Amino acid sequence: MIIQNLRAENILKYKQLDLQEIPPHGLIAISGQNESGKSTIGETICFALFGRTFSLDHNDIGKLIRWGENRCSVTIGFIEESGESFELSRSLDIDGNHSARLCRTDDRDNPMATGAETVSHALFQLTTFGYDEFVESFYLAQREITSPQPHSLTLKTIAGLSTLEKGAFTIEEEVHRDEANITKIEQELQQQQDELVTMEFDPDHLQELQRQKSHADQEQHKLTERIDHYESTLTAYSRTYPQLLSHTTAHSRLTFWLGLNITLLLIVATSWLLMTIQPELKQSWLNIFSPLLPQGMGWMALPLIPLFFLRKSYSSSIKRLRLPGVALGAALQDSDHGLPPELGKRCNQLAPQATESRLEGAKLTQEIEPVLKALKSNQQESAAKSKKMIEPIQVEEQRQVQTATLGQSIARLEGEMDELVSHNHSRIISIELLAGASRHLSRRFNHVIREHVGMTLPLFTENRYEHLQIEDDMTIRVFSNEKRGYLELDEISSGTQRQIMLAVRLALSQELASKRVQSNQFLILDEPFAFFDQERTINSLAVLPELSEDLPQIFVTSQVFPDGAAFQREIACSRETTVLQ
Amino acid sequence: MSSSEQTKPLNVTERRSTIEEFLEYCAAEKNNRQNSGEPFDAESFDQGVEIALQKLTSLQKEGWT
Repeated sequence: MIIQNLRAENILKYKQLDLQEIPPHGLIAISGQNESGKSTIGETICFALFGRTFSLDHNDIGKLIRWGENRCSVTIGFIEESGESFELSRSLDIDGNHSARLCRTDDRDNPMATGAETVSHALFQLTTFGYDEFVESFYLAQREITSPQPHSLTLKTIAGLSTLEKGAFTIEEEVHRDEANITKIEQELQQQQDELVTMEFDPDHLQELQRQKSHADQEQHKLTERIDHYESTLTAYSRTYPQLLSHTTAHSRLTFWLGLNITLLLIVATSWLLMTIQPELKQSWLNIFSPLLPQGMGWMALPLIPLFFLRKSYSSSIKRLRLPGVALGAALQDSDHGLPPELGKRCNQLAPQATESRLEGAKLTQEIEPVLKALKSNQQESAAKSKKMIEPIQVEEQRQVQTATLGQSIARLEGEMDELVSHNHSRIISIELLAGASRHLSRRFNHVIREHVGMTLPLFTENRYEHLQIEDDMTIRVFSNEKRGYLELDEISSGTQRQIMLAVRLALSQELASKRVQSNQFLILDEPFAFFDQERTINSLAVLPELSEDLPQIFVTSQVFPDGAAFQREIACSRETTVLQ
Repeated sequence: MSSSEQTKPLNVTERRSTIEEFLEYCAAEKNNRQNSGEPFDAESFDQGVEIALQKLTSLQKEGWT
């Protein structure tokens, strides 16, 4: 940022301040007696840029308004590295109303930002430094020249450490947060593991219970089937038994009649054959039957076929009607389902009788009744056993679900914890790296500052002090050429201290301009040579414009400048003047 | 050293962002650790670098430079 012009009204002693065409390079001398308004120029620039001055913060800024006036205003024009020109206007009234406006010089109708806060933000985007960095480097106020504070955020920002330290700090916070989370998870994990141990769930026990129930269910099922089979076959047996009896009787009768018929037919056929072979028999008494024989054979043979088929039909029917008995007999034969021995024996006795349908239905039902009763008793016993198993199995299954849920939860927690631990491990490495990089940058920053200081210190101190030693904590020692050793700052005079601090301040300005701002930058030095003799002042003034290519425009104030000093512009202030142009 | 002729403008400090500075440091540090003869977990180291880098990038977006 190079200042091109500055216009102000009613600021401190000035009714009007109008500095145009300010040289972009070289020294700009501001001279005058005490209270002539020299420092006001620097304060006006500071107010224009940041809405406050070194001595008046935002709460007291109203004191900036010229005595007796209601309002003050300032407009500063500046150019950035890009070559673009900007104009920042700011006004303040005694009621505390504060307005600001930032625009490009070639586009004043369209401001980039309006309002104090917005302008402040936009200016930071443009210049990349704020008030704190400004007063620590580019603006040396008259009253302020102290040793840099090692813990100052501004100094760390200039050194490039603040981002690294902020990063390390936020990661450390994350580590602490996750450590707390890990502790919480560990406690939860321990609690769940204890709970799991307390449950003492044995999967084999559940399997055994399930096996027992399954066995009881199968037994019950088999018994139910067996009982149903007994009952259905017994019912069928009882239903078919009378029919079987009648069919068996009919079949027997038919067998008798069929046998009789065949016998007679054989007799008649034999007689007819004999008479045919021995005709002499025709002469006997048999001769009277001879004409009837063929006819008789015909009559006898005639019912033979229906009888045969009718008998066959009965045979089939009997065979079908005996099936329930056969089935029942087979069932009785296979009746070993936990029956008492005497009942088993009885079943074996009844089996052939049922198979051959030798017993009447009612009788057989009566005989089988104890068997059925015993089977039903066994069935009920199995059912009761199965039912009894339900609750313990349910309890075990529930415990199994709880165990599985706990197991999953434990696995999840262990996973979460491992992830957090691993992430924290990486975070700790990142913190170490950020701290290492901070140390590295800090040392390099100190080295750079030492180098910068080495260019001006001998000049400011007439070669009595050549270089500084800056520790990591920004403790400064200075090398005395006379004493050939390092001295603490408090071992040397306050005038020399001020000279050393000026060299340090210039070094910080150079570093900030080159590292952060990365643009040509103005510098304001308010009474920097108050403790310098004339020769040193002349030498210092000669070297300042060439101090750094990043700091080409330097405002210097002094009551009187020595003759022979070369300035690009001289601004003379006086106590009586309220208008400066 | 009493005249301006003896004083030359200093070289401008090499202009690099904090992230670039950090990455340069990490590269050098990794090289040191790899060649130190001590056990070195490169994967963890790279993860640490990645976490720090993400944080610095995030801070840079917030305006930290």
